[in-house]
Amino acid sequence: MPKTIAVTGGKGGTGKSTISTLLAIGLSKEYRVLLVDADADCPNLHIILKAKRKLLSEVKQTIPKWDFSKCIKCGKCSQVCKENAIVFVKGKYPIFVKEQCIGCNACRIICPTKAIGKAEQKIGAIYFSEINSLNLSNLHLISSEMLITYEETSPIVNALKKEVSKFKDKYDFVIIDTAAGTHCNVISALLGVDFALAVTEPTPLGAHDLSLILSLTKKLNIPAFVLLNKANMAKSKAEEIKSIATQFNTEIVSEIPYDKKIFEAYSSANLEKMPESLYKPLIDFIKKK
Amino acid sequence: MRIAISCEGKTLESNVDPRFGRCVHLLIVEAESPDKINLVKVIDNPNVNVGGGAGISTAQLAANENVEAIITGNIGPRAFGVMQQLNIKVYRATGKAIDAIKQLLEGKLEEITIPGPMWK
Repeated sequence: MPKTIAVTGGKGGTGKSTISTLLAIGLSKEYRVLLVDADADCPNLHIILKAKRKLLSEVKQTIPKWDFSKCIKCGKCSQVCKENAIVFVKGKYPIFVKEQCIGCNACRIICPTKAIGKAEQKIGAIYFSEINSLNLSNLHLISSEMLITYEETSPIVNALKKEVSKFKDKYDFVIIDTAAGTHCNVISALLGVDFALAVTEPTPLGAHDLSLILSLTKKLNIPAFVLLNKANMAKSKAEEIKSIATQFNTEIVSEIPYDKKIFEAYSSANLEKMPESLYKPLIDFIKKK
Repeated sequence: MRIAISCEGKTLESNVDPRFGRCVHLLIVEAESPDKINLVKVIDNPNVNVGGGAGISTAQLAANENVEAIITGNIGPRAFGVMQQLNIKVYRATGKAIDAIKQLLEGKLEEITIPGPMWK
C-alpha cells in the first residue's frame, strides 16, 4: 500500500502546486510516485511538468430525462433540486439546466408519476502522463479536468480517485494536489488520505484559510501538518500561523522562504532544477511519517 | 402586457438594475399604453446574495409572475436560456424604469439575443 498525502491549504496561491510538484520530484529519486492533480477546475501540473496527457477515461454523469406524457406539472422535481438545475413555472413542463446538475437523482426519486428516466452527460475527463521530458521515470501524473460551463467538480474528483485506486499499488507514494478552498471537491480529494499537508503563507488570508482547512481536516479525522511557504515575508503573521497550528494540535513541519528564484523556476516550468536543499526537510519529514 | 423589470428601487422612478439575477427588486408592471402603466407588484429579490444560481432562481421568480417580457441591464447565459425556453423576451435598458417601459411600448428597446454583459 502506498502512502497517500494530500497537499491542500485553503487559500489559493500559497504554493500547493509548487510544493506537491517539488515533493513528487524529490521523492521520485528514490521511490515510485504518483502525482494526482485534483484541481479539476484548472488542472496545471502537466504544464509545470511539461507532460503530454493521454486520455484515460471520460467522466460521465447520470442526468434526468423527462417523459412529458407522464408529467403532471407538479413541480416537485424543481423543489427537491438543491442545485437549481430544474426550473418550474406553474402550468409549464420543468426546464432542465444541465450544467447545474450534479447527478444526485433526487428528482427521479421524488417524481410521483415516474416521469423522469435516466440519461447521461459528459462532464470531464481523466488523463495519465509519464514525465519523459524531465527523465523522471519513477514519476507519473494523473489529472482531472472538468468541461467548461459545468459547476460542480466533486463528481470528477471522485471519478479521479476511483481511477487512482485502480493502480495505486504500483507506487510507494501518492501525492494529491487539491484545489483551493474547503468545498466538496476538496473534501472528495481529502477523503481516505493518510495525512494532509496544509500549505500556507504568512498573510491575513493565509492565516484565515488555514484555520478553515484545519477545521475541515479535524472534522474528517485526517491528520494534518502545516507547511509555511514564503515564510520570511511577515514575521508577525508567521507567529500567527504558528499559533493556529498549535491551536489545532499540529505543527509547522517545514518552512520555505520567499525567494525570487523559486518564482522564476515556477514560471518557466523548471521546478526540477530547484536545489533539493530547499525542500529536503519536507522530504525527510514525509519519509519518516 | 405584463412585464418584469429589474430595478434598484421600489418605484417606477428608480433606475433599471443592470444585473438581472442579483437585481435588488423585481417590479411587475401591467402596461397597456404609455399613459396606462400600472405597478402591480414589488418583489424584493431573495437571490441578491445567494452563492450560485442566482440567474436561474430569479428567472423562475419572474416567469411565475406570468410576464411576457423582461427589462434589465444584462442577463447571464443560464437565466437567458430559461427565458428562451419559456418564450419570454428580454430587453436591455438603462435609466428610469418608467422611461424604459414607455420605450418598450414604443418598440424602441433593444431585444437581447445573446446573453452576457453589455460591451459598450
